[in-house]
Amino acid sequence: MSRLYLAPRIMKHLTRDWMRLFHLHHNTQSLGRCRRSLHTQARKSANKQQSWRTAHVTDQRTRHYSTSSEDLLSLDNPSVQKYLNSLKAKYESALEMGDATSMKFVSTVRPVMDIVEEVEAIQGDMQELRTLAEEGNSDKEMKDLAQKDLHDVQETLTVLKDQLFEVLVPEEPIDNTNVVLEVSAGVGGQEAMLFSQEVFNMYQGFAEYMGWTSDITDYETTDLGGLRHGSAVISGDSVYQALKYEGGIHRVQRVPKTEKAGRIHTSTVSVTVLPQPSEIEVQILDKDLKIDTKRASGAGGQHVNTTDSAVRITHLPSGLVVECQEERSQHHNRNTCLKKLRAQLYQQQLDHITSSYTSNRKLQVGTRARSEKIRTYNYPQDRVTDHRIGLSVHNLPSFLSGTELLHSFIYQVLEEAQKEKLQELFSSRGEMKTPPK
Amino acid sequence: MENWTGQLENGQVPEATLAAQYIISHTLGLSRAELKRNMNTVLSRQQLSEVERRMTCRLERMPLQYIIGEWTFRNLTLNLQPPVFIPRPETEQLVDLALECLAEVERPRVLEICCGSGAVCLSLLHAKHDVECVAVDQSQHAIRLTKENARKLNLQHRLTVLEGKVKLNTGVTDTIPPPYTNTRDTTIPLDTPRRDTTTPTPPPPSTTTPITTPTPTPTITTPTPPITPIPLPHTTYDLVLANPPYVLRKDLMNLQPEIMMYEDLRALDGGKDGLDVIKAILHLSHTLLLQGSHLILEVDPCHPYLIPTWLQKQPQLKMKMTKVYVDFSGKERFIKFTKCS
Repeated sequence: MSRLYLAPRIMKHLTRDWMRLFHLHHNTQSLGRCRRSLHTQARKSANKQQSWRTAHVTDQRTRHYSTSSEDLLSLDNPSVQKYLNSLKAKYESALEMGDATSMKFVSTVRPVMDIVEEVEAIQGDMQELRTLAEEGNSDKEMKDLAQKDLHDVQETLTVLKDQLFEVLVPEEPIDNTNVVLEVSAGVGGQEAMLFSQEVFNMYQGFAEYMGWTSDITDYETTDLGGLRHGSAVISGDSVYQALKYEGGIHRVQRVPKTEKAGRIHTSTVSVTVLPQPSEIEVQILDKDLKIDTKRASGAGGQHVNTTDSAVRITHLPSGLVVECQEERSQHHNRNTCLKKLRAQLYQQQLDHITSSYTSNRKLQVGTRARSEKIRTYNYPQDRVTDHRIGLSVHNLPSFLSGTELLHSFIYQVLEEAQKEKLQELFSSRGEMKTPPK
Repeated sequence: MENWTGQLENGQVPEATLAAQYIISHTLGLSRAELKRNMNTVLSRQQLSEVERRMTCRLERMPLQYIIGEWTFRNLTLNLQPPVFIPRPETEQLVDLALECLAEVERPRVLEICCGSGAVCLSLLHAKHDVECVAVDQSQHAIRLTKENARKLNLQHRLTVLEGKVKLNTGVTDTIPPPYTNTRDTTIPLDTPRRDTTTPTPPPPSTTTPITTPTPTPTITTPTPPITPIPLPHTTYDLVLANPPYVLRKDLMNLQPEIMMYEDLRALDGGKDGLDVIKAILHLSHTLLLQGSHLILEVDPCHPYLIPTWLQKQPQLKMKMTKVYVDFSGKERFIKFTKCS
């Protein structure tokens, strides 16, 4: 039972690692095929993970990569042990209680506990093997055998440890949803608009690179060719999981095209990534909507022939306003508007839930506050820096093309966020947080 | 781009920017969003002259939809050619109403009268896979275009397109029931010239007429009002849909030049009160609908007030106005009728 429950998580983890491998080795195989092959080898996780770790180290040589210390996330860390112990105590008491709320807790924690038990068993084995290996009175053959076993067991332990940390941070239920990506020019006038176009194109490129489909729903340009505001619905595999930490303020430092004196300007672009909920998750009542079209005045119907199909919908209870004018059919634009509105309402709901279950103590990555400056694109130094994890890479043109470099960058942010969540878990005294279902 | 927009604006063409964008992007084979992302594209000589040609058409107030030869209705991109009526965004809702009506009917048979480019029936066929449609229009161009669009969208197998005109033989109806004398008298003089203009179009062959007896002579008084027969493939339908000509004669002269000059006015002109064709459709639906099934019409906002009065004077018509729907700008635009016993 617990194995079955674990499998998808492990696979997801593996998939991510594998995708990284994929880029490091410039493998041209299709991702889909890789995934399928992984399905068959899910249980052979150990080797894959090890090989990735070495690959990752070589990868790091090329970039300045500073991260929180790895040993915080080890089984020997006292705070980790403390957390696990308290979890275990709660789990056992909940088992004894046996009422509905306790059983719910039990079912969430069971996968963790199963691994913890396995780890404990192995640690016991290791103890025995160690004494066996060190005991003076046994023969040499026996000792070698014990050493070998000890080595094997240690490897299994590392794998288990990774699994444990993977299970401890519950996967967000919305990770696999599609997203509405919005890019708007912020401070900096024309220059900000020019850059927002580049950022928008970067994500379009990334969507293409990842094999996702992207439908541009809004694209408001300026005279100079900049982008005032653009939005796209991106759909595909785990889109939200990959893009969720991209939302925030992106800052650019460069000499703008419009600048005559050659001074460096700083401008900003804001990026919003909203998960796209299904119609069931967010229901919108017709009576709450005020729909404006460009045909509102005059006789309408057969009396008029216009081509402006722009639609603007105001959601009265929340005051949210969405617009769409890209398609020639008003019906189509209206549906897109509703999609966007649904995503925004969903984000509001999520924000509400998230704030009630996370303390956001000193999270750098995970806050997903949309007002937060997350990244700087510095042209004079040809560098991109993520302020949340202090990661910098060079080669801006390649980064802005939205391919490999952005991909590995995004996954490093993701990994950092995962670590952060774990740390938060261990240092908080509260019980294990359950994600909103 | 700006240059062209300016030109169109100088020519007092409405929605100049949009028109310029659509024309250029269509000529380049891009979507409008793609065009905006690649504003610095250089046009080839050939493309340039093509754009020029289309801009000139627009300056002459040819509707944009005809210039680029297609437009989107709901999720379908339809070919559009002059003079076939360009589907309006309001009509998209008519399909929603029809779908709502057919939600629980299995393999429904639907009749669309005045199909134009086929927008409504094709959307319906596209949205619901077990619908069978019969589409009727008086214009040969409309028939051809509907067939062409059906083939383009690969929906031709469930669609029958017929040429025919739904027309009330006013002279006949006037003689039948006694109730109306005054009101009809006022309509006759205006109806007569209309009838004169339409009679030259040859009536469709009436060899097999499952609906009514062939056009009766004025002396015959039948309980079912005579209708110019169209050989329809079925005798009954689960739903009748129509976006008939409903523009009132007095409004007809004040339409945009795009409509006046390029669109088929027969698709718009609804006679003095805009009800000429609507009345005919009501009579026809009366004979074709099963008890309890519906007729949905797109109408002028004044019609929901005019029709009940007229219906009261037609006791033999078992059609009841059951619901009026508003369009997206809040105008009373659609009427649902139910055939009752």
